[in-house]
Amino acid sequence: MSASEDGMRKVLVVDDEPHIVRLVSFALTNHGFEVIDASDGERAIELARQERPDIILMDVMMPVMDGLEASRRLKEDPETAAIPIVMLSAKSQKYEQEAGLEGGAERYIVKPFTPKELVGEVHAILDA
Amino acid sequence: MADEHVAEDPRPPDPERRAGGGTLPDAPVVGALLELTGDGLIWLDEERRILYANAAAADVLGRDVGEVSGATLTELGWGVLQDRLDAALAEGRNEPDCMLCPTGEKRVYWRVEPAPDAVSGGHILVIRDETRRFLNDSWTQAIITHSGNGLVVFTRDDMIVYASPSAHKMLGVAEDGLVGRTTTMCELTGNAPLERGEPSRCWDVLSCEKVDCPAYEAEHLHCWHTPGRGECITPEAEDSVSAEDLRKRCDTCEVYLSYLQGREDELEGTTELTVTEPVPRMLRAQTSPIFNEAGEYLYRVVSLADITREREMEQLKNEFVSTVSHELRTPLTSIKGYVDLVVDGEAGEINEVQSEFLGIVQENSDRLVTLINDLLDISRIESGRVHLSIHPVDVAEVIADVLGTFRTMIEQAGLDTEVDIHEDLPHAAADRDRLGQVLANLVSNAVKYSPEGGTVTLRAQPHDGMVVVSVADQGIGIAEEHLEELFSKFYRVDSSYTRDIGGTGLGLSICKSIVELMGGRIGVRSEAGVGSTFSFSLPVAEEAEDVSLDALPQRGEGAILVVDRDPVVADLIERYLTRHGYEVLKAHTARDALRFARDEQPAAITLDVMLDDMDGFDVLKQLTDDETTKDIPVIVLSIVCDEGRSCRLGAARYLEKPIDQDRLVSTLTDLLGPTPSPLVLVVDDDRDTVRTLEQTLSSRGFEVATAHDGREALDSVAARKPDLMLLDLRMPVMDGYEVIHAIKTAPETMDIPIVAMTAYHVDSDKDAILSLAVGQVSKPLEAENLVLEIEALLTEDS
Repeated sequence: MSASEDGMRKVLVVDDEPHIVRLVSFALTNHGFEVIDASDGERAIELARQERPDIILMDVMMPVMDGLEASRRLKEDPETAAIPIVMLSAKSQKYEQEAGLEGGAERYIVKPFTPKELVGEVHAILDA
Repeated sequence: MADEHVAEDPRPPDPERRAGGGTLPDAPVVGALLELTGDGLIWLDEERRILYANAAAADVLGRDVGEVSGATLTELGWGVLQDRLDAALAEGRNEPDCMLCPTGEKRVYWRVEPAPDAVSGGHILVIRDETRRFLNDSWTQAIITHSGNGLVVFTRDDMIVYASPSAHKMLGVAEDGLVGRTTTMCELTGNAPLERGEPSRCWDVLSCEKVDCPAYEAEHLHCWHTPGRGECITPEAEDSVSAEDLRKRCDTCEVYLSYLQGREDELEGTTELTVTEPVPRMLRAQTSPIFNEAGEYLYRVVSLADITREREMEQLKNEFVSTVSHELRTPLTSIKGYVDLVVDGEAGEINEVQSEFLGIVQENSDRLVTLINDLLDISRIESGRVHLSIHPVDVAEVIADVLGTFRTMIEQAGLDTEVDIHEDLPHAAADRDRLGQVLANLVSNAVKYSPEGGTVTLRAQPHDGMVVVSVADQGIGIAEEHLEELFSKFYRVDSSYTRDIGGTGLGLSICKSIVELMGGRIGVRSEAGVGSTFSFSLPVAEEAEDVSLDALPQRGEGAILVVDRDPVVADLIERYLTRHGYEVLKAHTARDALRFARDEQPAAITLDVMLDDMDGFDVLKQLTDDETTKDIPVIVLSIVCDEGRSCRLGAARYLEKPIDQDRLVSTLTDLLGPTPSPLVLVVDDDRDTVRTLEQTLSSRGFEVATAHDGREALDSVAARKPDLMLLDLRMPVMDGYEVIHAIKTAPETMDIPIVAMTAYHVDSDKDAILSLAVGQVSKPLEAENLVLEIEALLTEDS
């Protein structure tokens, strides 16, 4: 489990909705995480390679490249394969969740979620 | 009249001319008769002048009787008729003709005949006003043509005798391409015929009330026996007719017989057909039988409606609901998320009033989320996109689970719960998750509508091949007029009352759909002021899947008897079977095998057919002939491929050598039910942890033993060896490290896999001991993962 230089754990938040990025960033920053963000899947892959976050929170429906495709590519790349991914999506159906998990995500959280719940999940995965 | 000869003038006497009987009356009487006749009769002379016309004829011509005598038809304004008449006579034709009158408002039928011999020369012209009948026909035609539905009429023998223009269009067949073809609707459209079992005969219907026979409910319980319904059996008449007579009657029942021939659209009913040519379309075909007045079954009419658009709209609606649901979730995430942050004080202190108000925002956004979920559910159910996975389900278990999730809510509402489950409750055939959803909905309603101090009662009873589950509250009850509507969408008893309570108004409708999809029914009984009871039924799971615990091999009794000449092979099978939790007895000779089978009454026998002292097949025969052993299932294991003989002699199964471990175990599982549950020993000094783990593991089908310190753990292992141990490391009396050491150094226990649990970083100097444990998990434990890990370890081990 790599930590950033100052010891803070780094979370990459990927969502095309700025309000949601801000919401998640705010909650995680309050709980001592360093947050970086991207608004589409392609940028998320770039950032994941450069910044090596400890965990990625990924929306599914995004422009340019969607979250499922981005997760798949991250899991295929040995450099980023070990980074746990949590999908955050408005798609709530069982088969949609299964598709998310098949793509290599650790968890699939259906929107709307509460910030507390999300912070709890990030802790649970990183402290496991 | 078509058999009349061509008119000639003068002509010979006509032997075939039809004539009335009796003596012709006198002229005045004839005159009176002519005036009374409905048909117009006109006597024309050689010049085609009118010698005589009766009143009816004058009416058709639209003239007074006085005007017509001596005039020609042309002079009366009927030149068209005159011309046709002349042409017909010139060409020697006399078949009836129909024409529009000169003014166009009448349809006139006319026919000309040579005048009888007595009146030499001249002709008799018969004319009749057919306007009304013509209009009737053409109206019917127009109505059929212009109605959107296509009509196809089949005879009993499947020949098409009529097809409307729209039917041709819908079926993509050229005009007039249908009439005369012998086919069925399904065949015509390339759809597979519907599968139908043989219907009950009418007399069966009468006595057993099965409604398979299409004749059922035709009218009371009359069958459609030919030649008339009048002869059919009414329930009152049933007593006086023997069953044999009734049976015979069915054998001549047209409907029953045609049904037996499997003609899918022979009778009444609605089916949906897909048509690919000229463009893909969905048709709804509604078939109705046509009878004549005597009740004979003559034709069937298939009315076709194009429902392509309807289906497309449904599809669109579902996609719309799904999209809207996604679109609503995104803004809701922001609303809920930011409010939660503020309420949790993450954005600074807030005062009590602010907190209260934001609490209301939270509650209502939660309600919106529920609504969105329910809408999605409804839309999926209605479009038939819900896939249920039906398995035998222990309803008691689901009830316990659901009550568990509502515990806090029930306590907060100050309610009591009572659970009453029939002790021999069979498993239900249901989708576990969906059953949980239904129960959660009903329990949630019961909790919402119960007054403080009330009791919510859950019952589960077997009844008439179903498992009936009920949830009762002691709320205000529901007035009778609302009961029927209760399960419809968005229906709420009293909006002023339910406003505080929340909910979407979709819950019960969803419950109803789910229960019905699983083959059950849902209903409610209620008494104002006393409370309401919602009950639903589910089919009982099939016997074979519903394994009773008695069938499981127990220690010392009901073991598996392994019969094999070769001790090495017998040992191998024994090892397979003990790994899967079976007790094993071994026999190497036929003599021992028969003795053990009689004396020990094993649960099953595996039998090698190559034995030294007797042929295995003879052993099999003796086993099946003996009253005390004939019920013990025998699995024949052989290198000799003779499945047929084995089964004829009464073997339950046949497996070929070399033995495939998995197949042997699955065969035994098929015959005897699943193997006994693996025993997991949970060791922790924290009693709450032990209790939680015990619950989780037993709900997953493990047998659980518990201990609260190392000493107790070792005692438990000595009493009964567990299949796996979950061990806390920090404990009083004797800690986990000592336990691992003790277990892993004793030869009889060293194969027990141990999973160490710890909340702290492990002492590095004890790593060596810990490495003896196969797994290590950190607290807080996640039950789900733990179970998965245990399952993985146990499978690996075997």
